[in-house]
Amino acid sequence: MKSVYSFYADAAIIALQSILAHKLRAFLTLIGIIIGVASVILVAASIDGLNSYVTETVSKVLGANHFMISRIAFVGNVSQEDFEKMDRRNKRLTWEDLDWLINECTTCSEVGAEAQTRRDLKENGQDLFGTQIIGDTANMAEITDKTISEGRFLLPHEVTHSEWVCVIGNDVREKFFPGQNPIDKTVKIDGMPMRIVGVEEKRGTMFGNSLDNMVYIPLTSFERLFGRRWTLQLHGKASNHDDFQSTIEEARMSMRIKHKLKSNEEDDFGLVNVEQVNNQVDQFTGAIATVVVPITFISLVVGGIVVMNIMLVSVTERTFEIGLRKALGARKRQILLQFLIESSFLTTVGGAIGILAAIGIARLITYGTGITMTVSIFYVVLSVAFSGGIGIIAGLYPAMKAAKLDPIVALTKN
Amino acid sequence: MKIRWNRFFPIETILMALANLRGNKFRSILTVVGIVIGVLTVIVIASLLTGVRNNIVQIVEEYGVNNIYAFHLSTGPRIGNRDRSEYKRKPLTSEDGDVIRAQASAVEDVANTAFVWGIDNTISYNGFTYKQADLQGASPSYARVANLSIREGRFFNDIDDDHRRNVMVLGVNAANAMFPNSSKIAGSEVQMAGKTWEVVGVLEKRKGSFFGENEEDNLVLIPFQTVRKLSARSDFVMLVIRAKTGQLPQAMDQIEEILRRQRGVKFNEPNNFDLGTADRFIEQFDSIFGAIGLIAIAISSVGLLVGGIGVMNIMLVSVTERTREIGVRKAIGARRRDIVSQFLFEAMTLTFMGGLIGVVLAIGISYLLMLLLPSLPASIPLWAIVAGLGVSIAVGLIFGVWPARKASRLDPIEALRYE
Repeated sequence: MKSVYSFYADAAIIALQSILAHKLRAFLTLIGIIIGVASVILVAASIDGLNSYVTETVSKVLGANHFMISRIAFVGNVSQEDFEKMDRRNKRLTWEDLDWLINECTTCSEVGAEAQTRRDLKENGQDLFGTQIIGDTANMAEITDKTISEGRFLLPHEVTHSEWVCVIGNDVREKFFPGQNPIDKTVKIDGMPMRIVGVEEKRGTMFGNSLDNMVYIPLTSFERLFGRRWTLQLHGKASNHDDFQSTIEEARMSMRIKHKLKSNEEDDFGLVNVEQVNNQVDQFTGAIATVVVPITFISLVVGGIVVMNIMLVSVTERTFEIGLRKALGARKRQILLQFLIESSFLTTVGGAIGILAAIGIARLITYGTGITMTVSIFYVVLSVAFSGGIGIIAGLYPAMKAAKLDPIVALTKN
Repeated sequence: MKIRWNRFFPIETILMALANLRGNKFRSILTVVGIVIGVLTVIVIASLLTGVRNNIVQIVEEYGVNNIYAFHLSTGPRIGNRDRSEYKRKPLTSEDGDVIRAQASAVEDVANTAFVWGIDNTISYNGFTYKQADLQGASPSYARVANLSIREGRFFNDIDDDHRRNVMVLGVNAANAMFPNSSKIAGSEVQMAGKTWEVVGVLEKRKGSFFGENEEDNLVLIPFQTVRKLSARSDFVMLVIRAKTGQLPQAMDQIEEILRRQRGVKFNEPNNFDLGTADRFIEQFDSIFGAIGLIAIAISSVGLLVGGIGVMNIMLVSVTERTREIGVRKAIGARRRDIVSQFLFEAMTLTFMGGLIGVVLAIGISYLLMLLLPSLPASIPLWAIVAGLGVSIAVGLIFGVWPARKASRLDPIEALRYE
């Protein structure tokens, strides 16, 4: 046992000594690996950062554990024929469907409904174009995780009595009430003055579209204002993440029962949930990653070549030493191991420093510019494994060359 | 007078460097490979990016470099939705086109196109149906203004337009989908929106393509006035205006002035319409694409950087190994400058060779890509080749300076004693 230990320990000590003997050279070799590893991790981190930025924005807009049933809904692309089929088959969703879902979906913590349209608002000669007018039930704030910065969201009795009240988004507030308290003032929608009861916190933009150009009004008032021909979007929320899928299934089943669908018929409504949207985002960023990440790995390969080159130099320089060790009884394995340890030590240390550097730079960028960078364990492990592997591969040829040296030739050289 | 050529181009030093590289073949090859990979990546990426850009330029210019597109909404690539306030603007009309034709001296011709909506654009013929039609209305002058070439039959004439006839000109995709093996398409009668339409012509396939696709090939054109009869709601008109050769800027100014007058824009208000040219589309594209290209090239040049560090490392080793040789050279009168240039040229020779091989391989790979994936655009830009070679020499220069200076500073006495 002790001999096995000392065998590895000796090899490691010799490797370390030779690295320390050429500090500058080792340092330069390390830098190649460091740059390689750091660039892989950083590029991956910015792609993951993009992903989590979009996912966060999506969940900010949609709310966690949230699903939606509407007449036609899908994530991603759908062919023209499928769309037309849905358009022909699917029925309008009504208040009846909402009541049914509230009663039947027992695992749903909340069920609400929404309808939306766009209007241009005009107030005191100021224009605000394309404001989203959203008719909501009172529980929609909870379902979609809305944050109200001033006042409150709509109340249940305001919805039942279809009162002329509204909650405005930040864009509306800044356009019409800059520096004022908008609560209890009014905005006109299609000429109907609405009393403002709350202001939603600023949500920012998604893909260049403002998420704050909104006015929420009671769903009943929405129908009074714009007519009752609208199809409702039903929104549900699962009580927790573990039950999310089963809740969605339950909601789907109860809607199928309500619509009297036979078991072989397709759904005549669309159901989307937050996770489908996130999968779509993952697909998109995944596609970017498969193109860009391999390009960054090229620099790691180049770093590996540098390691190999330096190891070859090291073998050539130490021909005499190797000859001597062999003459004194060192076996091939030991020589091989000595050089392999040296090269993989170099790349592993380089990899470790690279990771630290990448994490530091990522922090700095996030701190300095506000761009989200997510250093993911996957790419850290991948690049460490890759750099370690490079160390072994790049060290293998020089190590074998050293191990194969004939001691007599080696000793007479120089 | 004897000109000392070797001052400008030190042949002897280069020969010495080459001999030295030959002496350490394997080491040199490995060092070169690092540079080769670096240069290769940069050039292949650059050539893919250039290929995409060339395709865009080709598509845009195929419509005509002297064309101006006037529309009431802003056009071109943008992030996010159009500003909703633009939808308040009133569309351009064919009268605007008539006024431009009559009053703008730098304008050769004007064509009206109309976007058609509100009708079912499914075209059926003999059991075949075609749903992807990009249905547009166009005035008879459109064929000339937009450089359309007709494969078969004819384009609309004024009679078709004035009488609002139900005739159509098919794009190549629609023609191929509905008439898979018929050689005579013109004169056939197809069904669309519950009416019978006579196909009077078929367009030639557009030459430019973006990943093998060109939207134009999906076109199905009907006379401009027929659109008015078919769907009164389709009132979005785009004017395609051809300027006289070399008079594009004048034409732009004249059109802007006429349209402002026509639309009653006050002098202190911005234009409530959009004038696009081929150049502007390309510019807009470049402003988006340039950033992507910069990031891609930056990422791919990391490999080159690592390769450069490898060169520096090997040159340092080389200096250490040849300490005695340097000592001898110095002892018999070599100046610092000579030693510096010896090692600098050695490094540059090394990286230049890498650059050369990298460029050759990159050209090979780009051609291979074009051969294997014809839809993938790739075009090797000359600047990338020149830059590849230049950068590789520069890498040698930058990463060779330190080892070379180190060598030149050696004390000959110490160096000769070095074991």
